[in-house]
Amino acid sequence: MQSTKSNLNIALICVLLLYACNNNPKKQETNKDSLATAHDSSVAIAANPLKDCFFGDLHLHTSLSPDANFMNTTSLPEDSYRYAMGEEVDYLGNKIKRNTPLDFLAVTDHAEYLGAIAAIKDPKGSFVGTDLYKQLSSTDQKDIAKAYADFMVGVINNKPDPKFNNESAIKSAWQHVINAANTYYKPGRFTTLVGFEWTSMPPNANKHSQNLHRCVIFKGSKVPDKPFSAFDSDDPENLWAWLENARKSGDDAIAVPHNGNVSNQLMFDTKTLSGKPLTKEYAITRMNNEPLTEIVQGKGQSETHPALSPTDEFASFELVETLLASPEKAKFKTGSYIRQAYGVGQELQEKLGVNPFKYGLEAGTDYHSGFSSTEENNYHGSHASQDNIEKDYKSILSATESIGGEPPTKIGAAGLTGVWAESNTRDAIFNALKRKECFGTSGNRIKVRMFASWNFNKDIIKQNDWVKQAYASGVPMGADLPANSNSSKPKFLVQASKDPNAANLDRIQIIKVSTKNGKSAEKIYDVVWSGERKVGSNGKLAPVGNTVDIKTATYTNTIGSAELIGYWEDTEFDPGAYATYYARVLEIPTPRWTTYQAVKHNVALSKTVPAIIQERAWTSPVWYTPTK
Amino acid sequence: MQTSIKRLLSEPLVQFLILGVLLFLLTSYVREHRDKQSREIVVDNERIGMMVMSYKTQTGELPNKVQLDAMIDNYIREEISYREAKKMGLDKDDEIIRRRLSQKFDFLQTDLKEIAEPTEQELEQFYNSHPELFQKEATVSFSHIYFSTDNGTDTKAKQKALTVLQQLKNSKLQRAPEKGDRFPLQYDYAEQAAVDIQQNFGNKSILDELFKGPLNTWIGPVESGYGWHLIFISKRSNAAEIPFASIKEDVKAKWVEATKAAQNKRIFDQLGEKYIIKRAYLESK
Repeated sequence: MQSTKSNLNIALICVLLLYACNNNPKKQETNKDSLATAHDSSVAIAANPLKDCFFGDLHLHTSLSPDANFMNTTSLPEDSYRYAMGEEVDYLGNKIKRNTPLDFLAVTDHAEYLGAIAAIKDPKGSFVGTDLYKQLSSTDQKDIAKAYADFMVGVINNKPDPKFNNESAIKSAWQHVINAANTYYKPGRFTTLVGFEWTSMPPNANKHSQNLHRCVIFKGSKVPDKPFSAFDSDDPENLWAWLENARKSGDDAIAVPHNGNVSNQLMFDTKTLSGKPLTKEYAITRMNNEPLTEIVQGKGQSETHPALSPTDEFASFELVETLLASPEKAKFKTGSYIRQAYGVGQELQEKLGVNPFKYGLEAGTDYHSGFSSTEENNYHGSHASQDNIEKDYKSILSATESIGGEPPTKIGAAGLTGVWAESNTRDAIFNALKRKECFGTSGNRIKVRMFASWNFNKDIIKQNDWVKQAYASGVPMGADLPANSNSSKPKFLVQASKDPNAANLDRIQIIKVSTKNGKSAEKIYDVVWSGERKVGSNGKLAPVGNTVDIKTATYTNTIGSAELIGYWEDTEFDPGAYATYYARVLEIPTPRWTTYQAVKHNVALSKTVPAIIQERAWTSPVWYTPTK
Repeated sequence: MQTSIKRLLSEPLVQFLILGVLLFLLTSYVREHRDKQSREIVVDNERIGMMVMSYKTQTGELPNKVQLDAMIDNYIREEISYREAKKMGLDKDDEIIRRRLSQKFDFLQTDLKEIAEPTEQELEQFYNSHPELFQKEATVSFSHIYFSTDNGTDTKAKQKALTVLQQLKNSKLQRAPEKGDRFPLQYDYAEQAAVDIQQNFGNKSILDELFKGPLNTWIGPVESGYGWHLIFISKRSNAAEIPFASIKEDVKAKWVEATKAAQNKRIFDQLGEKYIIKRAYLESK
């Protein structure tokens, strides 16, 4: 009875809105016109064929995401864009501003109940005075916790609750997302990308959610009238079908899976979600729709785990190991980390003919504050009331656990996507993402290039026009080494330059994952490094040193390099083995955000995380496929 | 006889009485009709069409007979309680109803009038009277020489920069990257805004110097996030208006926006003139 009544209320509101719209057909059209003209003004933007590096966040939530709204996030996409462009904004009563503005941003609010909580809590909205409004706008944390628990029932069971699943609110929020992106798009200066997050989290046997989330990023703003949600289907194969359909009538789009680390072995599984073995068609469809995966974000990195890569002394970086909103540890022996998946993908390729895990790399924040605050010394928390550092620094820095999941200190000030594109426009940036000429960083603007070829000259890197030569005679990150008829070995050029507002660089490594006869192996090669260090008898390059003073949260750039550039030849190359090569750049050690905050507020360092980290960047790979 | 009726009819009192009777008949007819109307609840095809449509938007399916009957019963029940509630005056002083009506009114009122295509002259006038909307950022063009501080060579690098600066003082060179170290980015930059410098060189003294230092002479050393530099600033342009011709479309979009806002305000102001606003809270006791 209760629900029929509220259904009817919603129905009446829908009818009223329909009526109102019908009365005003002109109004809508003029809106569209003015948007279209605003776009056409993107007159010739200079294009650099050798490409420039642009940085942005491809994963961010605002108050239109229901969970963010429950956490008292108030920002809207407009605020997110303003902050990214370098403007000062208000966050939980404090003024915040990035040290270095970003070049592009995609706001990716959850598709499930998009904007619905915001609509209910709107003090000028139609829910004012209702019980739901009173409950959700309560200032009593107990009421909110109760409302949130009620809200989560439908999310966990993947059955939408009609009182939140308000289609007109979802469509109007989606339109808000699109309009904000169009308004803030400044071709040549700042690029906005329309996007959303498809939040699939099928439960495991203990009813804990396993993360299969994907962010969907569109090339333009000709998009379906509402996003695809996990309520529509929690199987990624259905998301890909939806994307293929969306492309037919509108702009191109990609899906970017993230947090393999907490997928409970499902993200890079060797069977489909419905339990079938992978096929060639599956692999083709997956790669057509998902060129990239997120290597790092607030909730940890998904490159590798120390238990999977025991000889990698840098593997223990920003680890998040608990299933989302759960106290249960994620299983990760397979299907969770991309380095391992590169090998598994090649093993499948031996059988199927297509590699289903041929992923390029990007990074984002996944923050629920609306603000991409990835700078370690300029981080203010990322989940509103859940980690309001300025107010609750004492309890946050001393917390060792939270109600379900990891303590807020475990969230990293990470990450950003770097893109090599001809210009800062939607077309150029989207195309670069699609051809995987992009990389992820742990939050800084480290620029890294990688090229591969069968016949690079060792001295090419000493010449001023080396980039031009590299493009002419090689392939950049994200591409395949072409077939080779002679007996030469693959040669690589790597270059990294530091973030001028951050620390110097330690080294560039190339990580190779090779596969032959169903067996994969990984190996790390130090290619170029700062100073006069030597590789020791254990095969390891000596550490760069450490200038961090934990007591003052400072470091100096007296060690490390502003730029590193190197040449590497894979002398152990086996033409009969599949290979994935990607580069990893490490900065010198610097204080983690938790250390900056502990010093600022004069409290003890957090015991849950390291005080010092080595920030880094990971390139999209170059792949080699043996000719048969 | 006829004349007496005529006379009688011309009597003001009789005229008044007749008018009275007519008025009585009319009002009682209207009252009766209204009463009937207020007791009548019509469920017509149009109404049912709307119910079906809203059911479909919510569930994606068409209602079956039972569901539709339930919806119709619900509608009738709601209509009755709505009318009874209105009779009792429950709609008065209810904040939700007030707000909802006001919102609906606003929604229907805004952007009512179509806006005519602006003339070139109108656009130019708008452009001229709103310079703040069409500003170009201040920019700087320069060449630089880089001195790397890698591996703790800060003092040495600065010293080397000072030596090179002495050499350059007597030369006519405006570009000399080879006198310093290899730089990972470019040696020459054109029309860079402050944000470009922040992104490419960091928030260091070079940022300030590029926008304040003297033109057409070598200056430095100035610090960036990479090390030390000598810079030769060849051109600087202050924040300036973007020429009208190159952003006409942008001007038009902003003109439409502003015209709409002004029109909506004008319509509301006209409405406001019909009302007498008494600010009783301001009156002294």
